[in-house]
Amino acid sequence: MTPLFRRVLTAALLLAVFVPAVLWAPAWLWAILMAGLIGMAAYEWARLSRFPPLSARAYAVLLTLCALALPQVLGADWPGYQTALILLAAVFWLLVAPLWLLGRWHAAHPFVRAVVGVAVLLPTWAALLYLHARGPGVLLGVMAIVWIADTAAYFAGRHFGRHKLAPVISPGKTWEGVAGALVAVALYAAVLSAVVGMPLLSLLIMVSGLLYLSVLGDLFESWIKRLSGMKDSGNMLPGHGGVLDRIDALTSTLPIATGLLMWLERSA
Amino acid sequence: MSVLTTILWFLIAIGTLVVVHEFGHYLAARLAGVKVLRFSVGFGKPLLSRRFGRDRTEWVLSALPFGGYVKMLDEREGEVPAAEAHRSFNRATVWRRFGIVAAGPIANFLLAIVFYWALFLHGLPAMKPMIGEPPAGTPAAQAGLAAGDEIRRVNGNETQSFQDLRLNLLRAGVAGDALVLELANGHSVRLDAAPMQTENLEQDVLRPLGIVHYDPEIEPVIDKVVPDGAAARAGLRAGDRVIAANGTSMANWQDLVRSVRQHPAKPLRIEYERQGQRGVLTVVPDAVEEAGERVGKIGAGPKIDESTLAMLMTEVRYGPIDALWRGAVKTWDMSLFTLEMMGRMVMGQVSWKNLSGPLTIADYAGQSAALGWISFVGFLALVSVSLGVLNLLPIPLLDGGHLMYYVAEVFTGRPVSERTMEIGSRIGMILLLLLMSFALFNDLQRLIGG
Repeated sequence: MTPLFRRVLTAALLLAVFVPAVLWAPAWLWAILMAGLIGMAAYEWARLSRFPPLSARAYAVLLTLCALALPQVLGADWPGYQTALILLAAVFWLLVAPLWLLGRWHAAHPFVRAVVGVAVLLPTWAALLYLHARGPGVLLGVMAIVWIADTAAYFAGRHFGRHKLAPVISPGKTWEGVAGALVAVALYAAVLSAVVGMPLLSLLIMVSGLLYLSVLGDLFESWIKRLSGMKDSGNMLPGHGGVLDRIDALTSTLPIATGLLMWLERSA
Repeated sequence: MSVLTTILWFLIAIGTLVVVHEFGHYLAARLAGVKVLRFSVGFGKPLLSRRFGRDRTEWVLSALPFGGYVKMLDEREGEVPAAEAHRSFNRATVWRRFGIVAAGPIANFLLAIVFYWALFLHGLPAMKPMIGEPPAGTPAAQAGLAAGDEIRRVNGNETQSFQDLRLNLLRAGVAGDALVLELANGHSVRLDAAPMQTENLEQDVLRPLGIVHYDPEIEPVIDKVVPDGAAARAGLRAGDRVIAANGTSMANWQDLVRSVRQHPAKPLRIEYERQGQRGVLTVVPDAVEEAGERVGKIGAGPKIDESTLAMLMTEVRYGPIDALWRGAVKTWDMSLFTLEMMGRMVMGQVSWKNLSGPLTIADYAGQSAALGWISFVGFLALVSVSLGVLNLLPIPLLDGGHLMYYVAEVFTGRPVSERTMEIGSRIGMILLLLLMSFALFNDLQRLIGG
């Protein structure tokens, strides 16, 4: 099997599981599936942070249980905590992560990494539940931004890529790729504006902001991988590396998109 | 106010304050004979760059608009030609370095003084410190205060406007001092108040005291109707006189407000008079969350005649010397107040919820600009003071952190070691990061609501 074929096959299989799950899974099943995903990502995060195998497993199990238990234990308080998790992610991605990359911090202490793992993964989980509850279309609509950006960046980068975006962090990314992604998500925003009837200008601003976040999420994971000397976060997905490699851009975009949605719903 | 105009005013505000702050450092460095290599507004990648001045200083506009810096010749940061060594920052005496670093915050205070001076010269419209009927059982009612009383002094401090009154009561209340109020009629009363609630200072802190705005009786005649508001949707128009709501007759506007507030999303039968004709219609007030309470609003404003307004308003205006003095006093007062509040947050006496960050500042920048240049200048002065105080905090990386090192140097006779400074800047980084995270969290929480 050629690598490309393996990559495409894995992607097809993933979509074949993921799309029906988004469309038809009841809330409880969706919650379990996503908790599993978050758990796998947590394991990879712990390994990237050089936790010994056993502690990495314990961390992953703990985070998964935490994710599953939170809505049950909190009950009526859950929506409030969901908001708090989203705010935590917003602070992390708008303030801490950019400084982290600009300052080329290592922050290798296991305690710091354990906390950051929570700040990256639990809000993603909260966002996945929130967006799914708003309807499969909403969730897919937001995720599509990241997918479209990824794909466009890949092709634009391959054809026009010349100026490196952040050679120290991730040698593969170029400004041309970002520009291609920007054009693609702008087109997507135009389509979205026609479908949901929101003003194009505000959609463009939001979508560009989310594009920035998706690049940031991508770069952040790349930097962590670079620090640990690993190329992929894991090998669970043949041709794609690990789970974290697939969802890195989602960990930054989904929570903030959820925050935006909360804000829109509140000011409506 | 649209998002774009808000961003614009925020950039104007931050730009002004940063330029003034950095210019303070720049001027002091020039005076001290230290060579300035670069003057930057913003951090990160330079966008625009020009070289001019005696030392061919590079004047730069950089990409990230959250601050700025002045880069001086320094032997610790790179090679310095022997001919210029005497002009590097690290060779300057500790007093000169102290002056250069302190000049930034000082420039912010001076800017605030100049702005307040201009405002006091120009004259500021303000609400008279006149109070309304204190609710029964409150300290103000027990002290015998009545509607229409004008409070001239709080614990000896003059209160020219309601805002002065609020600030002075707040300060005395937070400190837990007893309250002695002097009235315009020469009487003086003492309030027996319980210690003030400081969980959320943005809420009305005066209400528990029984101090409320003087509320002159206003006729129940609609003058302004918000488009698409509940009143407009129901068909009420400017000029309509409301006679009764759900059968209760409305003597004044306050009656109407009261019944509307009690009917969030519940129908209200309004009898009204329009050009001599009587009519009846049903309004369903919009439900709005206000200080944790669900209240009704219909989106209509009353007609307030000029004489009522004139009775309520006063203009605070002073001569040049007096205004300058008052500007300085006001700046000093605001600085102390800011410092006091920060101290109380650290001590846990005031909630961290009161900490606001760039988004709240941006929001206020937009709002105050929309109200006109007087309120915008007042806002700039206030933020300038906060910036000055914040920068003087003894946290490494901030100006105050450097000043702390220089004070240590004066006592020990030699510069603080590189290693100490490195540890210091790590601690400072963590402290600042926590502080900024808190502020941003609060900002966003105000936006999306928790």
